[in-house]
Amino acid sequence: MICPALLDKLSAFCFFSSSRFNQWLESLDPGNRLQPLSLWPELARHLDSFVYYYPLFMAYLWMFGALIFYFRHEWRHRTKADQLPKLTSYPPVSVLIPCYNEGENIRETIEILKQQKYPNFEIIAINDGSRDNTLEILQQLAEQYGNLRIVNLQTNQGKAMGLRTAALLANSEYLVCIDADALLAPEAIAWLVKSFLNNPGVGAITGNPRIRNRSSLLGRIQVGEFSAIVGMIKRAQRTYGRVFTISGVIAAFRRSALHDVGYWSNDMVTEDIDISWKLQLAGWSILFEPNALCWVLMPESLKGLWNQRVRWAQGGTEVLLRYFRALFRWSSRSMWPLYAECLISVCWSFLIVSALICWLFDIINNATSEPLTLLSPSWTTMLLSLTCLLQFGVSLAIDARYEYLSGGTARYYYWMVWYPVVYWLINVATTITGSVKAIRKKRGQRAIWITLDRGLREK
Amino acid sequence: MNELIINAPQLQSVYKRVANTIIWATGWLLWLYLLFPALTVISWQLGEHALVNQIRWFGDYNSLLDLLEMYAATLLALAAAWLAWVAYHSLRNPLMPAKVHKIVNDQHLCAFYQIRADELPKCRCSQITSVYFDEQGQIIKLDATIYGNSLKPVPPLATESV
Repeated sequence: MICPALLDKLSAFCFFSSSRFNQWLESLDPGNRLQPLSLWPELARHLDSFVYYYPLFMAYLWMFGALIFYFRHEWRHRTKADQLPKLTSYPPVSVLIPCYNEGENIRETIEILKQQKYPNFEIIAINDGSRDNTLEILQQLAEQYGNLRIVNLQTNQGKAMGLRTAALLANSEYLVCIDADALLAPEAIAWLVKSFLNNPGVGAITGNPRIRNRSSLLGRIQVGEFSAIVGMIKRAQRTYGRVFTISGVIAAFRRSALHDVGYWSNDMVTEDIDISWKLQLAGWSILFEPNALCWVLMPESLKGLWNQRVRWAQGGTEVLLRYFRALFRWSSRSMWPLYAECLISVCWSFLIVSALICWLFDIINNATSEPLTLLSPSWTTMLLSLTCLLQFGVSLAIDARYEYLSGGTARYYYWMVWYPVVYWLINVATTITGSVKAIRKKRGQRAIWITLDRGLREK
Repeated sequence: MNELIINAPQLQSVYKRVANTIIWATGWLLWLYLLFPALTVISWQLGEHALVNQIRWFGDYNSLLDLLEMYAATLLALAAAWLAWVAYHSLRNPLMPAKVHKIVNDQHLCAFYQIRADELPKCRCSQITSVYFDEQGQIIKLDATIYGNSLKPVPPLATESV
């Protein structure tokens, strides 16, 4: 999942810096002697406004979009996620689980998966040349569970290749893909199938990932983040009609749609963003099913978080680069706003860092008392802060129905207020790092598995 | 659901707990600082006129009203645009022909993956399938085996029209 879009939220701190950027640009041509440079002050003023207003604008855009989605699809349907939807038929479903060195997690994942309240499904675990005991555990489990099949890749090929192979060997048209450390709620398959049955033009459906590990500050912030940012953006994008990405950790696909677009690409660092774009550019729709819950593990260390976010940012930029030409087709017009939003977010991150550097440079060189004035709060920073709190409040309220059994989301509001401090700055940095990596990456270079930090757990 | 959630703060090191506490305190202070103008203007509205200098420092009360006016106009326009978009789609979608797609069959799959057509049904019934690739990631061999004596071939899933 994504994330240059996460960066759209601006910290007030960066707003202060933007004023310095403006002044620095003006200082390039103090007497306006050079004609081309005389445009700088005007340009700087616009950049200044952009840096401040863009995230504010996006925050409200998402809020309105998410609220519309909520009132249209969630509020009036009183069914809760732990209630089974009524289906007209129960077509066969294959659950694909790519595994690479997942000895610690795979047993729990499959045992929970066996509790699915869906009558007609098989599990396909893909062992992608693991070097630990994943294959042995899978073999033990296969003896216990008749509907578990193992696809054993003799050499490590990467997640995309594992999924491609399993899609070939699956007995079903509907494929539900989850990560090897993700625990699927017992009703999830039924919810995903319901959306497919009702919508023949849908190529994929993304589920609703919920954070399991909440021991540390980072874990708790991510609970709020997945509601306030990820969930809200997905709802808003669905209201628009297109989504930037499915969640790779829980997504369902129509095999015919995958076949139509050539399946997952094995050279993209985030295969989920890539397949989302491929499907939508080919005219398939992607839905968001908030009732399809999946419990996931997230990093709880700064290093783990950094690696994850750099990967997401790199994946976003890779998609921008790869599908630029495809956007010129008239049939791709519905993807233009998503492309523009992602591109603008990346530019915004670069602008923020430029502004910060200029500001620090100016402080060191001039050593004036002006920075103190710039750092004092104002009406604009007040409105920015209130918007931020409002966004967290709205999104957590929307999401509360999916957390009611775990005590609700209200207490995570308390932790979410740390989000700007910890995350916005990290996300700006990861976007820049990820973008540079994407630009420097050779086309066709195979994506490899990345071992992620899965947070604090009792061994 | 509760058993799925891992909430074990005791697993953190002392260093991490201290760092979290510092961030916790900094975070709240920062919010109080950023919201100070809001607290000031509320107090001033409630009759605390001694705060007039602070109000001027933040950019005077009239500029706040101008800003709020601009915000309100922008938000109204944004909400109207969203509603117009949703209404347009609600009217347009029923008029669009439903997408007709062909379900991919095994022949197409075998052609795409470049494997023999007789291999696929065998692999789909086996509990373990070993897959061999060449350097380009092309499947070169599929080896369907039944692991262990106790296992039987996987029965095909019940087919139902999709």
